[in-house]
Amino acid sequence: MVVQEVKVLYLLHPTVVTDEKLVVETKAKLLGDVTQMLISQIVSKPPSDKFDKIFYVNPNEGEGRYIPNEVLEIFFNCLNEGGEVEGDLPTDQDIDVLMNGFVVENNKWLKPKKFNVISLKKSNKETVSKLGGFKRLNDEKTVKSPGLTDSSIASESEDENNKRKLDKMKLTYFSDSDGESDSEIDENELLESNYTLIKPKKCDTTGKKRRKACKDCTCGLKELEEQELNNQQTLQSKLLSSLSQQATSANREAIAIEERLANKVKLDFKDMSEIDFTIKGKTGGCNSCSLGDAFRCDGCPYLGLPAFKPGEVISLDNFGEDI
Amino acid sequence: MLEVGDLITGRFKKSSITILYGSDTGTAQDYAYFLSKRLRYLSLNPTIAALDDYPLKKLVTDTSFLIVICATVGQGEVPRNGKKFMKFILKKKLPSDLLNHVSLTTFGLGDSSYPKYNHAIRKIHTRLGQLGCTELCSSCEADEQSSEGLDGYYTVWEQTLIDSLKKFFPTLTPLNDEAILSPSNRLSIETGDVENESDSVLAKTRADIDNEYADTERRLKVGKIKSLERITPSDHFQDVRHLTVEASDLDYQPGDTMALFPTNSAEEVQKLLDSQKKWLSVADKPLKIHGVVPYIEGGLISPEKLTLRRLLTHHLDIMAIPTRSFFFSIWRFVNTDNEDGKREVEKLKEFCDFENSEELYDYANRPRRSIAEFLVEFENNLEIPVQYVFDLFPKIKPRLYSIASKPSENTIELVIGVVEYQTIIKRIRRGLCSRWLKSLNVGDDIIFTLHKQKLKFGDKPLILVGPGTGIAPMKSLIEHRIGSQDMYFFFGFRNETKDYFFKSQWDEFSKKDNFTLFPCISRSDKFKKQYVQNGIFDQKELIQKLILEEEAVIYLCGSNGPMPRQVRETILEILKISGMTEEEAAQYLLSMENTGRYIQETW
Repeated sequence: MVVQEVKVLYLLHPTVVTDEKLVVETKAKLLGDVTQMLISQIVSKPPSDKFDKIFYVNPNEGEGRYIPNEVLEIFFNCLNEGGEVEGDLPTDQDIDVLMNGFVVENNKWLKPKKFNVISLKKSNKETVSKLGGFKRLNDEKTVKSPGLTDSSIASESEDENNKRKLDKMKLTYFSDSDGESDSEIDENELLESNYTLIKPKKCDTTGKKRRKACKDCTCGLKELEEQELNNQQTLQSKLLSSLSQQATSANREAIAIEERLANKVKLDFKDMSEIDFTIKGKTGGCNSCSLGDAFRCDGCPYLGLPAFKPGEVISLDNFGEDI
Repeated sequence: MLEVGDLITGRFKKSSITILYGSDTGTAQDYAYFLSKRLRYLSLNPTIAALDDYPLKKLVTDTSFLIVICATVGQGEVPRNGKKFMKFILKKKLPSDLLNHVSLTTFGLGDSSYPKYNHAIRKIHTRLGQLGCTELCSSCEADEQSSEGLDGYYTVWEQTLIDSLKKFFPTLTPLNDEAILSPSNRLSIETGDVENESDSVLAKTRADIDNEYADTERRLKVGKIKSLERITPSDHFQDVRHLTVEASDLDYQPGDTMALFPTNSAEEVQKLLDSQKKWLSVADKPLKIHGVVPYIEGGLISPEKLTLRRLLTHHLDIMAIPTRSFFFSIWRFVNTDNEDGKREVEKLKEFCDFENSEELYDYANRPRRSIAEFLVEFENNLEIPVQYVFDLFPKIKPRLYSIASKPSENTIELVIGVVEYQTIIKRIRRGLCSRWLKSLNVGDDIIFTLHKQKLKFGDKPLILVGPGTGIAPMKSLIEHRIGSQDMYFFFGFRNETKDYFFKSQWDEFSKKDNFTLFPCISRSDKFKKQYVQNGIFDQKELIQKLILEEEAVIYLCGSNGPMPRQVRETILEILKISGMTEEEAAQYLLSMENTGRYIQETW
């Protein structure tokens, strides 16, 4: 009978290596086949082995515990199903941990055993075509530039080494050297699209969706919008005016505003800072007026004015005169 | 080439998805961010960047799935933050299998009222196909004019994309809707104190000042404000400023632009801090950003001097209009242990729902509400951990202006229209940059970058058309070429007493033989109402002669809208009068555009 040992990845944060005693003692407690690595090592070259457990030592606290998403993904990928991560883990990254497929349990991160993996058989041609159809976007005839490799070779290269070499070759085209002298193709030759486009279903709703008037609107929408704006401003003015008429002597400022409104002088909003909007009978029937614009009805006279609390003097210049 | 076998072995990293966007007004960018968040809730880990901010080598080393979301600007071109990307992929020497390891899908944003809508994304898609990209799923070219709107297109495309991605990542465990994603950059409040510094000193610590970029465009320069005067009378509705900056080693040509880096005012930042109770006590403590910070134009201010208050002041656009992707994240920070909070969450969810897109438009876009105003309105139950500010708030973008002075090594001028208007919101809307500009004083240091447009004007006669602040590049060009080239300048303005900018200079130049000014005045009791297009038509014999006999170059600048189109139609009409058929005239104008004889810069 062959007994398989538990494979453990003993992972160290760079700051721990100075504390040799801690490293050795912690390692001694780990059972099974232990591989020791620095976290920076697995980032630069993710291990090809699969482990049953990752034990992470990181003597830092708080922000120093943070593990980037990319590293969490590496953790996940180098664990066997049912494997787990434990040790000095961050406590405020549960969302990131979940997003990478782990289950968080008692300060450990578990890689679940079963996935609902869609079984995709390589031989199943139908599946291949369903996968978005990896057709070339271009018409071969239009491509005049030579390829880096025979594309048939490229497609078969599972080999990491080949891929790395190819990547290296590709990267030479991205060098930062001043490309002023490079000749360019005429972008106007790229306008014949021969790829499929998605179109939305025709809008069959009421069509009440409001569109903004074009800058050079000729269809009348702009006038309509201006009319609405005028109406709203008239409503606001009426409201302010009736408030000021009801105002007691404490509200002289509002009266002053009313006078200026009558003279069609541009408002100085500094003077409007203390108007009592809470005069009895002035809240709307729907009770939403006080809640602010987000909750006000279409055509509410308060639209455009700040939210206020019943029973409170509100301030119009929450953000000063200028916005 | 991807293999089906790869699907099972889990070869694809969740981080091998790259979302790149080319965005002008921010719409494409917001779709990209929205998508990125959606994918993160599927527990994928996409990288997101503007086309030009992504280190392209990573297309080889880090990308298996490429998603490009791009708008189209101008005459079928890629937006400014995608120009370098475009230049790279257009290189002839690139091999046809350069990107054969990449699976691609694209989403274009267009408006069919423009003839070249969605051309940018089409060019990118076709070219990436030529470079070996395979298809991840069908692409999409959205049309804003359609009854479905951009959202209608986006939702079907997103669904198709997600279905395709799921096949490559069969073991995905989507997150619970309520879960809060980890911030993409972790922030921590450090102990100790930071030195007091003024904002203009802090601005000069931005990383790109010393940055040795291969291209010099990104390097920040420091200048001093020599003058900043209002050139419209105070009773004129529009506040237009003439800014003069002194600096050294300047290198620019007519047509080039200057980018300014505005900051938020201290009061606005304070109000925001007041609305988030927990922020106030840590606002002036050292703040550390962990991880790789996405590129910010101009770079971050010095990390040693960073605080939450300074981050909000220099880098986060709290005056921006809150977008769908903003609301998509923000509702999760609302405390729902009371009725108000529950109601607020419901409302905020509505704002990110594609079915209710008019709700969002009416609340945010139409009245041009700011994020800061939103936060104050929802302050009772909204509690945002400091960790998330960098994720939630958009970054302040530099503002670009056409340079208004002739090439000089030590002086540079701009003409800037201050943006102010009113919506249903009672308080006046004022652009972030406009407000910042008004706070500047003569003698202040100012940081900026210069951007080359590489326009070529030749030595043939120039027909210059620049109404309003479109005067800026014309002034630069005329000052530069006066006396050495025939120039005919059609300047459009409202009233001879209000916005006849730089009149004395034009009077002076007009004494020379080869400069002619055609003032086109649109709102004056004294003169016949005339726009630039009318002015051009009145001179049809001259224009005809200049274009057809003297190979003149037309240069048109100014605000978008009807003007550029009407000028173009006027030129077409003039060509027809000369005897060309409709088709011949259109063909002639097209060839003028393609050979750089019809240059248009509108904004």
